[in-house]
Amino acid sequence: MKTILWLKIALLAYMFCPVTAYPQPTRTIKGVVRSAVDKEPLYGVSVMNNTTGKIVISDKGGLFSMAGLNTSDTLSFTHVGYAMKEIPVAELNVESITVLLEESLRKLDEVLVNTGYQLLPKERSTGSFTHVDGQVLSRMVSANIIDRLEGVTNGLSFQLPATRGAPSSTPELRIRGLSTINGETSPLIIIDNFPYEGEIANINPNDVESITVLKDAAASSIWGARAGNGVIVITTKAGKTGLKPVINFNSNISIAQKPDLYYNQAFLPPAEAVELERDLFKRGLYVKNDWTAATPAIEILFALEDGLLSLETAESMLDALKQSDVRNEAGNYLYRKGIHQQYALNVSGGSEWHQYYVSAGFDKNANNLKGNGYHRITLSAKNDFRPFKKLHIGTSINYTQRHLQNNGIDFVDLAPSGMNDIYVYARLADEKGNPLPIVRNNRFAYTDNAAAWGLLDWHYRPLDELAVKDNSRHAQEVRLNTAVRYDIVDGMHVEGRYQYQSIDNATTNHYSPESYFARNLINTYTQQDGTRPIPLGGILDRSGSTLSSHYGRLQMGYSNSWERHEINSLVGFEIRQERNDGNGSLRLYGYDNSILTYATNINYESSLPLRPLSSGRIQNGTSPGNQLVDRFVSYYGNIAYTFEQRYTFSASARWDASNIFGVDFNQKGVPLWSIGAAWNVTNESVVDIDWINLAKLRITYGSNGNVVRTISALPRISYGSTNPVTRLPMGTLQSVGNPDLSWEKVNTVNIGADFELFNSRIFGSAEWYDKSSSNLIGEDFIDPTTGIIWSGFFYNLDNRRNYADMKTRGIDIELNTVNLNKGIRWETGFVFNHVRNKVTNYQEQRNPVIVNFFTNVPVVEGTPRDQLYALPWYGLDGTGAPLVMVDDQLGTDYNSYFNSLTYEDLLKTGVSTPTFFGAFRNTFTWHSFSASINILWKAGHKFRRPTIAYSSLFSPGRQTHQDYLKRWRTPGDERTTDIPSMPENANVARDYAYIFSEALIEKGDNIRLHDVNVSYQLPSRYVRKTGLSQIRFYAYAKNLGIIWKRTDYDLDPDVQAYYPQPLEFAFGLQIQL
Amino acid sequence: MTTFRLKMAIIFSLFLPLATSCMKDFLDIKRDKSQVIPVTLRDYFSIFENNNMNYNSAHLLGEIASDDYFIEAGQWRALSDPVQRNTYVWASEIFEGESSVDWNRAYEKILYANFVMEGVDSIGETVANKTFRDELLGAAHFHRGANFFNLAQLFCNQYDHETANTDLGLPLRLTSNINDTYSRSTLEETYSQILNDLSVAIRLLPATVPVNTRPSKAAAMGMMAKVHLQLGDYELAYDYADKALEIHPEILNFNDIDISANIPFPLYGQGNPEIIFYTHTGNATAILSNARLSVDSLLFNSYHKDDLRKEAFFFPNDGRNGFKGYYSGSTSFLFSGLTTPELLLIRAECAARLGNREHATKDLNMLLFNRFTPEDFTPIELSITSDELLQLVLSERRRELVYRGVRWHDLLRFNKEPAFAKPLTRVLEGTEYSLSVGSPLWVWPIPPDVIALSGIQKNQRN
Repeated sequence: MKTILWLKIALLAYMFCPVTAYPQPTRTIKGVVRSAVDKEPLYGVSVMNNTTGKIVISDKGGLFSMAGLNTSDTLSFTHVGYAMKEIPVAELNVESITVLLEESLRKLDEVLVNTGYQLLPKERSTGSFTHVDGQVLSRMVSANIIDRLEGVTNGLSFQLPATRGAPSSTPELRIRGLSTINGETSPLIIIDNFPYEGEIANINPNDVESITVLKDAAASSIWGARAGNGVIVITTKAGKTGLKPVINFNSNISIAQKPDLYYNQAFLPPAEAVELERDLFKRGLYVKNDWTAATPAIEILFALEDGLLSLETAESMLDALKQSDVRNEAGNYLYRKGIHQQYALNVSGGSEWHQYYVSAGFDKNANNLKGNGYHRITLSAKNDFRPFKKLHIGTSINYTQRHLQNNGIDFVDLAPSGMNDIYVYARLADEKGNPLPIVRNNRFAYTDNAAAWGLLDWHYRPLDELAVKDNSRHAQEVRLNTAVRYDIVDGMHVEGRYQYQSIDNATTNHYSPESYFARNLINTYTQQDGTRPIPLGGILDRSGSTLSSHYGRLQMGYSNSWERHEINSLVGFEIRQERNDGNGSLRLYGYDNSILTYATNINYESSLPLRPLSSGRIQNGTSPGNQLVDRFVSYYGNIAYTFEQRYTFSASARWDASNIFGVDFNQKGVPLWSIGAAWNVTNESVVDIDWINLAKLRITYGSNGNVVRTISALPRISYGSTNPVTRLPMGTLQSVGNPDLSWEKVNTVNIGADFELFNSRIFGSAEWYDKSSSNLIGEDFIDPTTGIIWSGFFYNLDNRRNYADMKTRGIDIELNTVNLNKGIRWETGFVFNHVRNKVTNYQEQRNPVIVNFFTNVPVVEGTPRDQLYALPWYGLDGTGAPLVMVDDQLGTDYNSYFNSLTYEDLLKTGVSTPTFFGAFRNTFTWHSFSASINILWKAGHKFRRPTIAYSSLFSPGRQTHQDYLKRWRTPGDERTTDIPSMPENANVARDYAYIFSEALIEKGDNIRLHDVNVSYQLPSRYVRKTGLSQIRFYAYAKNLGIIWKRTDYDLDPDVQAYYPQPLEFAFGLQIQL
Repeated sequence: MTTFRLKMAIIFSLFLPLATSCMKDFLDIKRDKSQVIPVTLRDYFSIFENNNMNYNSAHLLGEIASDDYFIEAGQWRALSDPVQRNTYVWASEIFEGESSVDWNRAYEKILYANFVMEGVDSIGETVANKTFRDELLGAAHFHRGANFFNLAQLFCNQYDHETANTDLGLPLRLTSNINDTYSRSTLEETYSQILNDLSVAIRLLPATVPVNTRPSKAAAMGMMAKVHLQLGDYELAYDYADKALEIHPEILNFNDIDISANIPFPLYGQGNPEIIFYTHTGNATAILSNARLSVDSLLFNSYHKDDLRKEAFFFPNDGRNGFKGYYSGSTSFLFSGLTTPELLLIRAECAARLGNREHATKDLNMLLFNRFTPEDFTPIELSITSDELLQLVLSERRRELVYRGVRWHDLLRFNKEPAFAKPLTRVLEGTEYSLSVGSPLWVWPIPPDVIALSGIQKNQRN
């Protein structure tokens, strides 16, 4: 085992402790360095003889000793967070002194970054970390801790997935862009030293102390095969040594406005919509049968056609339809102001021998969709014991319970079957507020007869449904942690950690007998003789899943400093199992919720005639579920060595084996590793520039991995087919497996500089990185000699393996300034991120379909992963038809155009994800008032604007768009509009020529006011009277809107959903006892 | 410092046991419980039951290039598949970027064979499973050996023991790991792999099998006879053919079938007693379909007027002669498997070459007895000279094994014998194309996708 050997070498290196002797000098000064504030001794203060450049470091007791001093020398004392102090030796009368250091203007504790394996002083690390402290995190009000990273985390981008309907609440996170093609893109999330596999919503943000984002290889390679997308390390609060317990109470209420349902342009004004339907009706685009849902306007036109209505009545009925707007109705009846209440209480304290932190949280959410909401209870208790000096025992228990109600009816849920959207003039209630039906599955003309046929009421009334919906999800999580640490000798310790995590999810959808779901299903199956194969009563669906994981870790660390040397290192072993059980699902028919009975004699076998047509079996909603087990075994180690607080060198390595990888790969034992160096220029004796407080250069290189779980290293076979030659059953091999399946590898070079200038009035960092991802999973053109062959349409066997490459490059800049510090303190934080990627090796799809380049973009070598393609736009002709270029001639022969299109004809218009993004945050503090405004900006990306596609309009989906109103209508319009005329017949190619053209590509650049926080801390003279130690009031506003955008269209470039996230206000109170 | 080191050693030793012993077992668990991975002998057996193993045998290039047929210039020009068009005139570049069905499908079967071999190897032998396990291992070796042999007839020089150690052989893929790479072996190595695989197959396979799509001992011996015949080793070829015929002597008597039927033979060879192992070529519809081909007139005229095969195999087709003797029972596929008559002809040829006239005539008569009506059948007399007998056996071979890919194998070996060597020529619109004796064009180029993706050595084509 190579790894074992490697560990042994690391171990030997441990035992090598250099000892150096020094000649006796003229004068030796000894002393102690203390903080001027609390007189506590300061550890790690750099004491330098300015003449010789010699440096010593103060020990844990703040003690230092500097020999060989001449009277002409000057000693300088520097320490992070403290102003530098210089003392000429001549001024010292005694040999033993006490030096008091004042805190620097920017009160900065020495930042300890948590890698999940160890705490590192940021000062003496080589890697790239973004540290977000508790103060910044508590600036924001949210139920989800990850949301609080948006706009305050250098190098982390948030992107909402392009969903139709309601906006997604789970943004896609990318740390420094993409580094995979087909693998997972989300970063690894660590909570309390272990990877977190649950839903992040289970974590109470009030329990979080700080968050560290590990960005480069030196920072994250300790996480090995799962660190390829970066790592977010969340550290929860712990007890602190102090005499009396500290009680903290935080409460707030957030109010979210009703969403702006008029935002989306897919809906025409009702009057126009009715007229459009009339037009489509004239074209004969509607079929009249029982099972095709027809809108009210079409029902009227059918009746008119059949002579059941007079023209006059029909016209007045149509006019009546034009009076209502479903966006308004939905706003009134389906949506409300969302209210989120949050209460968090924690008690912490402790002595030298025992520290504790106990917390409880309660969140109650009423979503702005009526009927949706949840409550969350979180409990945690953390204890650290020190039974005797060398032994630490830590335990923690976290419990979360969430109960989610999912009974809302979304705007999107209203769409009748077969149609993309609800017809805009739908009414949900009459003038008196009585629920009205909307078309659902079958025609009204059909469902109106239900009673006459002895069937149950067959109408769908959304407002009635709201009252009877009973869908819920119950989630429960328990996390148990134990840690035992033993200090063997000074600076060396061994520790063992274990975590058990268990998450249960149970979903119950109860469709009561009154629900449309139950009525519709019962009616559909009711036979001609009136028998009901699906019995009267409710229907109950249940499903669940369980996750349980065990993590064990054994680790040895060594850190020490002597003379001019400092060393910090660890080696360890880790073993993990994560087991995911999908517990299957269950369906009960004839369910009675009051006495919990159900029908047992359901016939799932026979095919039955259905109403209004066809036949089918009763769905047996019972499934066995599945089980996934991931196992990992890892060895790791790292070492950082600092010389004279000037030069730091780091190295790390990690080896992972897993049942996800192939057996051959596991046996090869390929490690992931990193090396790094940092140079603290300010600690050089030759650098003595007053206004530079810190200047540090860092360079690292190393590799991380990314696990792809969608592909199996094992072979796969399927059964069920018959050999046509022998008529005997046969098996079909799907994959021969891949014993060499491995992680994807991301090699990162990171070059950075940290600086603090003008007495820390300006500080920040600038970094450049280059990520080369290799070994990426992709479909490969494998040498057919392997037996994996292309049959002309598909590969005979799975041809995915590790081979593809991509490159990602970028810049992260963070600049913080203290602009004013007299009376009012004004601070500015500016984040600038730039990232670009390019696929450098990928086997392109064989004979790709050109249209795919606009819908489901294939990976193409030499282009960014998120390339946005378009067709050239030549305008409209005199009939309003889009022009296309065929054989250098403009014309309207769309079929020839699309048949002759090649990849080379496509325009590469840009990328769909921002290449530049960042934040601009200003904080003002005046006495007890504080205000902070965060502005986010994104640039460099493009998006495709939706528009009218007549083929979608003519098809039963009836997709409309307001661009329809701006279409070409009369000759000459082609000079003012690009929107094609409505053709006689659906012509998909004609639509494509426009909807995929460059005319619809817009620049996405925008600046938005993300949030504002205002807080007021009650002056202590008032607080003391109450017996409390701190009272703070705060107000917070989020989603304040766009300040500037590049596109002229009335669109939010980042919102593809039906409406943007609504404005939210929050008010809160924090009390400390 | 001593205690320090001691403590270190103790702590370090904690890490060790976890590392070595139990780790493999810990990781040896499949991730997705619902994933069906082949584990049992039944699973591996079911892979071989797949028709993949019998379809698309590597004979297409040889058959397209052979002298069994010709097509008109207009038809030739209209061919959409450049491989068929180029192969027909033995062009120096035939693939024009296309891949080779023969190469791909043969290596697909070799992958399956390797995969099954590895899987079955990992299942220990027990008293209870020995028979079944042996059959599977034997089948795996048979498929691998037979496919290497078929490939060697298309992409390697005709075997010559003088040059076999330097002639290029095939990349001998012997593992299923798709990441393993192989370069080309020597021709000597290729044939020793083939012989090795087939002799293992002979040892392990059962004498007979219930369906002719599964390999049997008879099939393995028959393959061995074919290989030795190709190698020019007539004594061994005779022996193996002899042993195979002992197990499987059945011949289809053409008097028992309706030779006037559109296709006189059963679908997929099921129920045809003389088929020892069934395979057919890839889809042969374009150039080799009756819409295009005319049976070579020399070939057609060589059948005696009373020969039942003349009607069973051919039919008048719009002034031309079409082919209907599909042992596959389907006009889409050309049968390319192993039959009793082929073994009789091998034994007869070897007997004739070795001077055993008695056995040779006996075998010939045995075959012809089943190809003529009893009234028309006249046995060949022993009085015939050895040379005449050999000629007679070879011409009978020509008549019996038509449109089966075998002709190409024969042309290759005759190339080395001046007495039988036959250059091929075709005339299209006044242009004469020819494939002369000893030309390097007899060996097809390695497909271009293979060259590009694996970097193996090309065949010398000029």
